[in-house]
Formats: sequence, C-alpha cells, structure tokens
Amino acid sequence: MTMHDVDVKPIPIRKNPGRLETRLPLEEMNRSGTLMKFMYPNGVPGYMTTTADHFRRILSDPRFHAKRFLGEPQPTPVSVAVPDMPGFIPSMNGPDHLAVRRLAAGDFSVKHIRDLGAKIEQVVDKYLDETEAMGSPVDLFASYCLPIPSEVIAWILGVPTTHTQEFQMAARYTIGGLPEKLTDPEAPARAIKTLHELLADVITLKRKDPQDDLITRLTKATDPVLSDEEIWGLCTNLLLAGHETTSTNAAYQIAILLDRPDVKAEFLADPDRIPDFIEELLRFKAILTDSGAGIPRLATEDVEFDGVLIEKGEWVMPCAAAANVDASVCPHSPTELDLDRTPFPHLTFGFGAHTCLGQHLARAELKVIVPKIFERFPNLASEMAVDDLPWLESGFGYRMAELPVRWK
Amino acid sequence: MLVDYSKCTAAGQCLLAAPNVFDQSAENGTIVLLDEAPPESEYPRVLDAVNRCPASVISLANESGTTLR
Repeated sequence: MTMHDVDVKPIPIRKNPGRLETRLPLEEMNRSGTLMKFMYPNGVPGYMTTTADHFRRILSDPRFHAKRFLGEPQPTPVSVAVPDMPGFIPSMNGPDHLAVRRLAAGDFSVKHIRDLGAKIEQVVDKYLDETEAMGSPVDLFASYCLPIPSEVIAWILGVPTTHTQEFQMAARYTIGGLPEKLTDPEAPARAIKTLHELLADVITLKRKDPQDDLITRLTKATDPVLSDEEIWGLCTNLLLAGHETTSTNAAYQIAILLDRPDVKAEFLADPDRIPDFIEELLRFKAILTDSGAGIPRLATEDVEFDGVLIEKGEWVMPCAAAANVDASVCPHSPTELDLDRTPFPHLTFGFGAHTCLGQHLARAELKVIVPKIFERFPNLASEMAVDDLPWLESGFGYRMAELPVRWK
Repeated sequence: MLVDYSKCTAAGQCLLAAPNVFDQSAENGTIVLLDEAPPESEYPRVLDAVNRCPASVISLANESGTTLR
C-alpha cells in the first residue's frame, strides 16, 4: 500500500453478509472507461478493470503475473488457504506455465470433452435418482449440483472406484463442507491433506499399472517431467477449479430459471438452443464474475495503462462482470437476461494464457445438469426467491450455501 | 495466416469458431492448422477465431507479408 491509498474507497460489495449482493456499478464503471482503485475487505488495495478492452489487455500482458496467495486482494476473507503447491498452474507464468498447462490440456480439449457426453449423462442420472430417493423437499445444491462435477473430474483424472467415495468427501470439504459443518475452520486444510494422501496413493498405483487417464499421462510426461508433488498440485488445482465453480453456477442457473417462469419456459422450449442459452446465463450471472472476484494480476514493473501509472507490486483485478456488460461485447440491454441473443464470446471464462482450461467441460456439464432437473421434476419449485438464497464466503469468493426445492 | 504455436494456451476457441480450418492436438490441446489457405467462404469464421483466441496465436498477413490483424 502506498500513502495515497489512504483515500481509496472500499469495494462496494457484500452489503449484507450471507447474501450475494453485487453492488458494483457495472454500467457506470463501463462508461468511465478507466481503471478503478478499491480497497478490498482483506485490507489490500487493487485496481479493477471496467471494460472488455481493459480485461483483455491486462490478461494478455506478460508484465502482469497471475499469483495466488493470501496477500492478494480478495473480495472475502478466503476460507480455503491455497497452499503453495508445485504444479498449481494459476500461480505460474510464462513458458513454464504453458508447458505444464499443456500436459493436462489434451484431456480438456473440445473433442475430448465431447467424447465424455455419455459419461456426464450417466453421472447426472445417478444424482437425479439419489435426489428423487431423498424426497421433497431437498437441498438441491448438496444432493445434485455439488457432487456431479467432482465425480466427473475424478473420472477424468482416473481416480479408481475404490477411492472415489473418499475423493468425493475430500472434495466437498476442500470448500468447507456443507453448511452444518462449516463451523470447523480446519476442515478445508484437513481435506487438502486427505486429498494429498489419496492422490499420492493413486499416483503410485498408476505408475505400477498405467491406464488411459490423465494421472497416468502425467506420470509419463517428458516435457517437462513432473514430480509426484507437481502431479498432486496440478490434480488438486483441476479439482478445485472445476468443482465449486461448476456446482455453484449450475445451482445459480437453476435458481434463476425457478425464479423466472417465463425464461424457464423459453429455456425448455428449444432443446437445440440450450448451449446458447447456457452461454447467456454464464454472461448474465456467474459465480466469479458476479462476486467481483477473480484471480488478480500483480504488476512486475511500473506500467503506464491508459494514463494510469500502475506501480510495480500493485494489483489489478480483472472484472469479467464489467467486461460482459460492455457494449462491444453485448450491445443491447446488457444488464438484462435475454436468451434470444446471438451467441457471442463473453468473458466469463477469462482471457489470456490462463483462460479457463475446463471451460468446455463446464459447458458440457451445465447443458445436462440444468435441463435434466426440470425434465425429472417438471413442477420443481424453489423454497426461496433467488435474491434470498444464502451464500457463503468460500474458496474462490462465494458459493451457494443451499438451494432448497420441493416437487409434487 | 500465421500461427505462433509457442503462445498457444490450448483454449480451443479457434476450433469452436472455424472447425474446418483449425483443430486441437489430441495430445496437448494446442492449435492444429487444417487448412493453410482456406476458401473465402471461411474468412468470417477465421476472423472470428483471430478475435476469440485468448493468446493472439493467429494473425493474418497479405501476400507481401504485411500483418493485417
């Protein structure tokens, strides 16, 4: 912090604790066209991007480094301390980052994910059955949205079925577990440790008995060769990145549709267009963007950016929510949800070298998870208005605490 | 069309934009150029790929080598 940061205004989010309330004045930010400086709740100041152009330029500029650690500006006091893990790609930069990222990228390519369609349907059907067996009313976040992405990731990694249940439990606790368990602040750290032990076991198994899966491929990597520690870090990274985000987005999209019967009718009327509708829902509201969170960038040297001097050591938070309401991205009524929009490249999955590696997987999961719940339970109803749903401060920023629903 | 493989971050946007021109390597997800001189009918999709690529991997140049975008 420098002396002139004394006057920096606090970031205008989190009006009511426990509820997700974005009060970022997105359109006003957009019109200003300049970087805005805010004080984050953890006492760290940082600039925020306000346009799509800023967003793309900051995320493409090698002078800004991605760096994940507790001293970065955070929209909440983060409950999950991300340990310093080798192989954790959101903290890597430059050619080293690309080399490690590419070791996993084949398994998340458009075509590889397309081939997973039947597997995703199978996992979704399993949790539809479990939800139905629990009976109405139920917390749909816990019974349905939360377990699906981690089970799919376990499949991609090649976690054997003997380890799946333990993996699922550890995955759940890395983000603090379910609400009734959140009183235990040590739970996430313990879960990370459990995951470490479990993955170490799986890595040993794969070295002895290679299979057609990602962990086996990582054990055989040559450019670069990965240590067991790096494989563990990368796998933990893939789990964390694809677990809480997709779960919460699925729940968020279901909640929006439950809240807006007109939009739900439109969504379900044209199954061929569901992938486009999912894109608009991702643009309109997504967990990371809506909370004003992101992975901040650290200036590695002084940078003159559109008349603002960003000093070496200062942070810039890329704001996808502001980018997604920019007229260059979304020209008409950008703050409204409109399923009829022509598909366009929104910025919810980021930009630059760290662009979401799992974005095709997230889309493939959402386009099954969201419509299938309405197929199974045609008169599904929410127990709460979308604006009243409880949110928790969690790993990436926020996640839905529960989604209570009923059906007849 | 110029492709800088060293910058490719394997995000797959080019394949989504212009599947007749670009593919992703099955091994590491990076860009594969299927058609170095695509027909004019592909130009709008190629341009979309250029704009969507998060790592500015693809650029267009005219015959004398001047970069167009």
